[in-house]
Amino acid sequence: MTALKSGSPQNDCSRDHDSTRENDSLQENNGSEDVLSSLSAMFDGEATQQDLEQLIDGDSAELSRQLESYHLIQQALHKDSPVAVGLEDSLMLRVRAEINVDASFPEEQGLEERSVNNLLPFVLPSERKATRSTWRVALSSVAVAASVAFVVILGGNELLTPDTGAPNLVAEVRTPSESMVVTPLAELDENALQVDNVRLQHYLRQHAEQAAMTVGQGMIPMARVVSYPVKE
Amino acid sequence: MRLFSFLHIFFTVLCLTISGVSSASNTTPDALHLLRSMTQSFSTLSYDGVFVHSEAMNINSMRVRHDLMGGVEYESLVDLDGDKIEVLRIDDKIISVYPNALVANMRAPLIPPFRRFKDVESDRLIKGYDMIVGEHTGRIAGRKVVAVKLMPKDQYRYGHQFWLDEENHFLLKHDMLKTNGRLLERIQFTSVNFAPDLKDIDFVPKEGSYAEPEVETQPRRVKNLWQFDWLPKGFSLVWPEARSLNHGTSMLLLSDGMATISIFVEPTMKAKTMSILNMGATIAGERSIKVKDQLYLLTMVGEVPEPTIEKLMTVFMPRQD
Repeated sequence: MTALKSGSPQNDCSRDHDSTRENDSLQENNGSEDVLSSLSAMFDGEATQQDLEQLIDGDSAELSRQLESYHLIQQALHKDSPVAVGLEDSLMLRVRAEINVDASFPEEQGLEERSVNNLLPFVLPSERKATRSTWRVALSSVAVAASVAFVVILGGNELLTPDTGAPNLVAEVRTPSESMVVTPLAELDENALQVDNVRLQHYLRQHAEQAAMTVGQGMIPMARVVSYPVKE
Repeated sequence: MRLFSFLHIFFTVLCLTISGVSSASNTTPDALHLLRSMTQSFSTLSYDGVFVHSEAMNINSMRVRHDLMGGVEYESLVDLDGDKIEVLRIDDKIISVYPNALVANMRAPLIPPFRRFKDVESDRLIKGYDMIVGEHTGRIAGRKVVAVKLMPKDQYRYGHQFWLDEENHFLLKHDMLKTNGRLLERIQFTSVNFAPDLKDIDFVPKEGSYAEPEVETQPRRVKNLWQFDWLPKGFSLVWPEARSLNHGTSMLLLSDGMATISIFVEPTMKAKTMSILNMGATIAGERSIKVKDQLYLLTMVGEVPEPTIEKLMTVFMPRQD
């Protein structure tokens, strides 16, 4: 985040944050600029309650685009190789999830503990999602500010990770059919092995070898390897 | 007087209950101690033995030898029934030895396994299994044995029974069992010598055989981009990172301290519906998953029941942290 501050466009935005907002009503795209200004303020750790509200109500697509441009700026500053971003949508989902989770947190949980646990609200155990307490309501503005800032910074760091294989965050998941056909592996021997089966053999061997090193029975589990089909 | 009798009976029952509970609670530590000792025996003992491995319709006899020479660990496993394949391990280096180059070329290359675990994962085991040490001793391969039974706490793993040498806790017999008690796989020694006269020449590939060249033992570690939305109790990733195999395949390994499940993920062009294959205790599942616009082929292999593989294949997804 320090790199962003030094000479990055959004830093200028945040510096003039308050004065810009007063004149926004005169501009054609004032809403969009407000949101970007709020986002910039958040990156700089200067977000106000109003900034947070702007972000919550903002156009997530626009925010995603802006995040990507921030990311490219960071890349240029850090001389990183180009990376696939592909995480913008999830980042905004996290911001929203964060706010939703905040609205349903149990009262016995302290602020410090909460900020740690909120890193991945979507993997929290279900029993944590309890009713919101009255004192939590009173502290909500502080809590939302802290948690959203934390998540965005975390997201920023994640975007910096030079991980070219970073996939999107949601896989298509199908439930298994109830009548799943189970084929004996031995049948692979009866057919001419295709590429898929050669690959499967390789995986079976790899598995047997790794299992042998994991379960503390010497090389004995590797005895399975000789039972696997091997024709090519 | 009646009150006194009642109190007497009550306290007697209470004492019996407490003593019963305390003796039952001793079984798990005892079993863990034996399993730990068994694991260590594979690394510390010298042995030369023949065992039979049976699963499904297959029975194979194999010879296993192990020794420590000059601080170096040597181990060899030879198939006595089939192609006379031999697998040698010198410390953490694995060498496959085949009777000739033709057979060697028919096999997939061995990738060196990762550093061996030399302890028992007791925390994981306790979550997944109830453990009992048998009260009676028996005899296997001419040696007295003590039995340790691991009963699965849920339907996501198999049961195990070990028969360990009473003297040095070496594993002489291992049964893997379904929850209904049906035998899935058995390994049983028929003979074993704990004072073999082994020399380093015993771990050198024989003349005329074909030895696969040694491969570096340091596999490539890559960032793990995947996670499970659910895991059976006690299961967790063995390595924090993924291992990179050939052709862009990433491998992960799950274990509950006893059962292991290997996960292979690779980019693919072809969509594939879920299919399950089995052989004895080994289950393999395959399916494609779509992440954004990219298809990945997901393969899981493990000694766990089919529903475990099926369920794990539906909760596997890109990592979200």
